[in-house]
Amino acid sequence: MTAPSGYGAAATARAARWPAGSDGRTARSRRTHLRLVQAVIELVEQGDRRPTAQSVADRAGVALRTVYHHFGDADALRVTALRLECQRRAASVAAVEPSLPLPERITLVVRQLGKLYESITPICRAEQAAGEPAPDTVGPTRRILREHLARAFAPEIVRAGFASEVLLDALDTALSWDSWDCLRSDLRRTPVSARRTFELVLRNLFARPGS
Amino acid sequence: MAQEDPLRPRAVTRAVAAVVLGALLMAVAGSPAHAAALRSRRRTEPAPVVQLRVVGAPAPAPAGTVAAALARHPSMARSPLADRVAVFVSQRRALFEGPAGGASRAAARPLTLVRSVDEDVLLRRRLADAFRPELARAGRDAPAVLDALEAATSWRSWNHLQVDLGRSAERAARAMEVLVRGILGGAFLVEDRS
Repeated sequence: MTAPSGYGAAATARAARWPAGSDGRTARSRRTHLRLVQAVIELVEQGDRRPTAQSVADRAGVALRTVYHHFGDADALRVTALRLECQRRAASVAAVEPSLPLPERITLVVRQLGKLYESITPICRAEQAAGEPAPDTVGPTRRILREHLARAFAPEIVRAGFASEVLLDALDTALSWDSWDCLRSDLRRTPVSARRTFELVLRNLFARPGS
Repeated sequence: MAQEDPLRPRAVTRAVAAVVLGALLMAVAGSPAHAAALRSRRRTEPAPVVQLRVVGAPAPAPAGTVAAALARHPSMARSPLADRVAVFVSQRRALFEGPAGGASRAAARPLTLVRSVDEDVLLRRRLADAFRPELARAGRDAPAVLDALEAATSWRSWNHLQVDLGRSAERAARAMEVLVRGILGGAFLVEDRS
């Protein structure tokens, strides 16, 4: 088993600080919960898009019944794990101040999105491999990113007047993971090339007519 | 670099591709003169590969659905950009709302759309044809502009607007128009239809 990293490392550290003694069982239960979540993320990142309860249990070093005790079934565990991981990674995206010059904002936003999308691609693919659209696995992450975009490009969006909501939808779509994956997987562009395309979209979208 | 060529597909098997693409282009263009011009142009362009590309799990969309839908769309005349964008987006909307899009929706996720690579090429070529003047003006940025247009007008973008953002077909089409006009000309404002 690999050493805990990312969400797992932080979570394990938090769990280790959980007050022991008075309620040791709660702390143990929490640690197990987090180990299961981390096991799913590791399996997904290694290419297993839909890990079984048994493989998760093996990975986490717990009995199969423990998985069912904590999450009910493998799908519930998978959805919980992927949602938490997506949100954790999206939370690392720093807000971009709308007072910065537009070119700087574009660079900062695209750089962060590119990094985020590269890291959550295995998770998004796992969601798509699930057959039925997972109930809001990456939905909360999308909403976080939309808020970031609305803030970073607030001056330009406000200038659009009545079309501001449509413009925000257009921005949201152009800078979505789906667009990123279209460039990276369907068109087979490099991350650098995909970033350049994102930057070009933003530059052109916000260019004033005649400029 | 092959990656930077906007019209170049991912692999090349020239002989079979030329025949199939010729048939598709003639079906779409309709006019013998246009077809002849395209055949002439094809001699200098890399030929596309013809093979089935399955992304994700197999889906019920038969290969050829996209080409069949596009064949019903007339070629776009050299009209003003705003008109071409409106016509282009309405064509894509019809495509995505039609059998090809329906098959993907039935499969519950966008990556399961099964298309032949020549259909991918056809979709990209339609973009390049419709917005040739703007792409020519883009100069060195033309490949990136075409990439951006392809992503913006893809089924995945349409699905994002409709499913992820919950927009109606009308609203999704408006957003796509805004995006395409923005990518091409920087004039993203649309008329108030509310």
